[in-house]
Amino acid sequence: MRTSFRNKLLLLIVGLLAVTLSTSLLAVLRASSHAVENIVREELQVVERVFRALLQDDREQLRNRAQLLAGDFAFKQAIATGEKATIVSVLANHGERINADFVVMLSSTGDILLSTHNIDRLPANVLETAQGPATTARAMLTLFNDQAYQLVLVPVLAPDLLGWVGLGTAVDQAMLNELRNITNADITLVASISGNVSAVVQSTLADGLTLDGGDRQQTDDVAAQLADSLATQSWLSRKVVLLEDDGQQLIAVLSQSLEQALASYEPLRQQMVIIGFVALFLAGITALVIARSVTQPIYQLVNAARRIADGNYSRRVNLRAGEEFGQLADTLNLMQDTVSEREARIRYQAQHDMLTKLPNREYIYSAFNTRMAENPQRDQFAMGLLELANLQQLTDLYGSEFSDTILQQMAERIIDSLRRGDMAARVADSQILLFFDDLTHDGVAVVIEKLQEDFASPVLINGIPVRLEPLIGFVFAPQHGRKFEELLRRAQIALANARATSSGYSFYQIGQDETHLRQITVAHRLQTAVEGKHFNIVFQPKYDLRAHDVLQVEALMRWTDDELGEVYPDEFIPVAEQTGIITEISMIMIKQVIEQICAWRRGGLNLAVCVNLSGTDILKTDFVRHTVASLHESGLDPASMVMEVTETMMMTDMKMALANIKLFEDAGIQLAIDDFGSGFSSLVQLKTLPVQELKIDKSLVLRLDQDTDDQQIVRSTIEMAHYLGLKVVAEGVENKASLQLLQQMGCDAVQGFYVARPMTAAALESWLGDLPTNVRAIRDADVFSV
Amino acid sequence: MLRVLAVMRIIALLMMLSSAQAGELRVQLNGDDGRPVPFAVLTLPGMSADSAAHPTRATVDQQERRFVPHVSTVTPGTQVFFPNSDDTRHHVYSFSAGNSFELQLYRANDAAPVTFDNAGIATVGCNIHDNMKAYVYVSDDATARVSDLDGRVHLQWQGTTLPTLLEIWHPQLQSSVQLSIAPIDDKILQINLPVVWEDPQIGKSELELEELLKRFSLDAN
Repeated sequence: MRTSFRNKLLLLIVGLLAVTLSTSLLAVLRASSHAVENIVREELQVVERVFRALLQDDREQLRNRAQLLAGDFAFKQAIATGEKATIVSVLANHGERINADFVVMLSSTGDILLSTHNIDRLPANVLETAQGPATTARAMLTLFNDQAYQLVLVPVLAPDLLGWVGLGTAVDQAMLNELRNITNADITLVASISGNVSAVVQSTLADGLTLDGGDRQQTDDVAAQLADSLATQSWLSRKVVLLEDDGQQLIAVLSQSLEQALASYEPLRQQMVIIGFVALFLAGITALVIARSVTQPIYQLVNAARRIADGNYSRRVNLRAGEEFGQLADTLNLMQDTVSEREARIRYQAQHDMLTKLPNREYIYSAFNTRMAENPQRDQFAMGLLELANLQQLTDLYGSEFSDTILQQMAERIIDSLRRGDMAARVADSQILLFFDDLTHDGVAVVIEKLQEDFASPVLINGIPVRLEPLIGFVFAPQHGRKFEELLRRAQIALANARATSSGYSFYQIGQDETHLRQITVAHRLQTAVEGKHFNIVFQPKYDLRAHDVLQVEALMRWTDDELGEVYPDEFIPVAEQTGIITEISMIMIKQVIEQICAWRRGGLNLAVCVNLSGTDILKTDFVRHTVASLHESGLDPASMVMEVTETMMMTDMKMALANIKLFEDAGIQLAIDDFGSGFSSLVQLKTLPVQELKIDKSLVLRLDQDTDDQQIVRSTIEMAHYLGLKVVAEGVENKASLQLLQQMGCDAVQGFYVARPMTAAALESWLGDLPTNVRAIRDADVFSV
Repeated sequence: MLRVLAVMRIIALLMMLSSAQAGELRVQLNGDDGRPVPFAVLTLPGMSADSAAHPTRATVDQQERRFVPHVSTVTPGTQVFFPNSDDTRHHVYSFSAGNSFELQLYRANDAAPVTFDNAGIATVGCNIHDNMKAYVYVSDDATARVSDLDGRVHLQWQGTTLPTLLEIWHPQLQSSVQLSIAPIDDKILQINLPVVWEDPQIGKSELELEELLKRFSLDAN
């Protein structure tokens, strides 16, 4: 658990003070208790002296009075009479004069003659006194019958010693109370009493405080017991031995209550406690104020730091606190500024292309989304993907630094031509995406015109005037999509289309993207098909018009995909060529074709098979060598395979193509030019190529019977081919009229639905065994024509 | 008493009288401190003396708050005068059995003589001067003599019989003591008494007070 600074400070200050205060308070209390105890102890000493002096004084007074009494002539006279009645009378009378409680008459030798109390013998101290010289009176404290007395023995001199008169006053409760009033201490008399025990005989203490029983043998013990008993109730006692004689013991226990004595200190204690609490309270307040003065700025700083952490840099930290916190606040402000600046820079870098200073793809993506989220109703806008048609050429020519400069210049021009609300971003190396808000198909012409205007004048880079040739693919929302990725992809398609136009721009057409997507799927599935060899080969017979027989069949790829269903070569071959997987497909085909030919040979069927090679294949020497080797290994006659290639493909690298074709030729494999008349057809090449056969493209044949132009082309082609010594094969023969035309034109062989559709090997075998009527009729027609 | 006897060292020297009719004995009394003991009464029990030598009248004067003499010996029936030689009155009394009397405050010779009829020792005091004390030794024995201030006693007897007993009384003794003596020729009998003589009538502080009182009092006369 984390303890807050405030609580710590509070605990520290208040705790320290509390400890200090309580310690000092305790010390004071102890000292005061101690002092009071000492004072009481000393007081008790004084009380003892006072007590003794008072007793002494009392005795002196008694003695004086007794002396006066004994000096009375009449008293002496009465005593001298020796008459008991008279003596008793005079003793009573004179005793009364001095308030004596006790009167005794002794003979001159100390024998008891008369006594008010029943005493057997005199205490030893009295006796000794009586036997001493009889000049003066003696005063003493003594016990008679469990009662303490102040006793004065006076000699009766007439003028010789007649005897002793003893006069005593009881040390009674009244006297003790008086003593107590003077000394302010309680007095308890403990005496040896009859029966050989000791007990408390008199006390000024409250009943509860004295001893109830107290029948110990020694007065000392009783006194100690009493002192202990009082001590338990916070009383201090002092033992004063008044009489210690043979058989007579008298102890006064002087006691004072400590509590009473301490009572005078009570206000002081209370004051100290109050002062302590006030001090603690003030210390607590002070601690809180100090803590607040520290924690308040800290909280403010913490809040500021959190705010900065959340990315809010707008507010300055303003502290009205001490220098240290002020410095911290300044530092925090500085940090905030620095962080803010750096973040802005980083964000700019993250959102912009450093070369052109244009926003990057991420930025325009989020800007696009923001725009869409803010104004979903305004869903009409256009996006144009722009690239320079001649950038690659210029780079090749002048280097990449040059092209960087071109891009910068282009960006500047684009920025200049943008309307308010439009955006431009560099989304790819050489592509810039333009966002035209509220632009529809109708208004795009103006925009295109303006852009082309802006790009019309050449830019001067390193003294070289360069003309920039922008290509733009346009998409329009909402009809072409609403999502950024979707729109960008379709703009790419439009741009690709624009490359093929002369205008330099193109609009996306709905459906293009789907075709494109299917191509991607096909490419993807092709991979699986190659791995699983999911290809079948069908064969289409080629009817030889010279031999009136089927001497060759064309092997055609058939691919039935689990997802796409049946896919025709027209669709998947271009994709395979683009992705480069075509060679693997071709190798599969070659292998299967060789196996099929071998199977037919064993069955006595002598057919040559034409295999279509892609232009990519023909440029790969490895493939060519492999094919040649495979055929060689199979032990087949090389003439049983015919390789069909298109001119267009070969033109990419004619030298390599010729070299590879030469390999086929050397191996004895026949070659045919496929799709002649569709793409580029170079007669010069045709002359140099070591081919034996020319296949006229079916686009020229399909409507041959109706199109006279086609008839002219086909006739000329056949004538030219024949002139060059080539056999001519027509593809796409679908009706009798075309067939007859071709026959008339001198075509060597025909292929098409009119003859037969492509079929499996097994179907072909049975087809050959039982030729349909129309096929058999071709020969007849020829016969007729001849 | 035995103790007293034991303490006493008696040098029994009996002085024989040359005269057949009479004898005499000189005694020197000393105290424990070796100093003479005055005012001791010595008698020779069983001996007779010239009774004519005993006057029928005796005087115990009061001079400067003292009874003078301190001890007197008289025979029964003797009139004793207590003249007052001081300027103050005296109140002379005795409570002694058989011879008690009281002479209330009087001056000079105002008081009548007191006849001591019965044998015994009468203790005499003054009621207003506690220190004053006198003893009147009333005895039929005519041999009784009082030691002088030097502790000397001169005893005399009649007849040829020699005394064998000597009785001594002194105020400071609890009671009389008797000593056996043997006649020794012409010697002073030295007797040590177990007392130290102190003059009982000395009352200094009282006198001082009186002097002071005189100085600061108005003369009423």
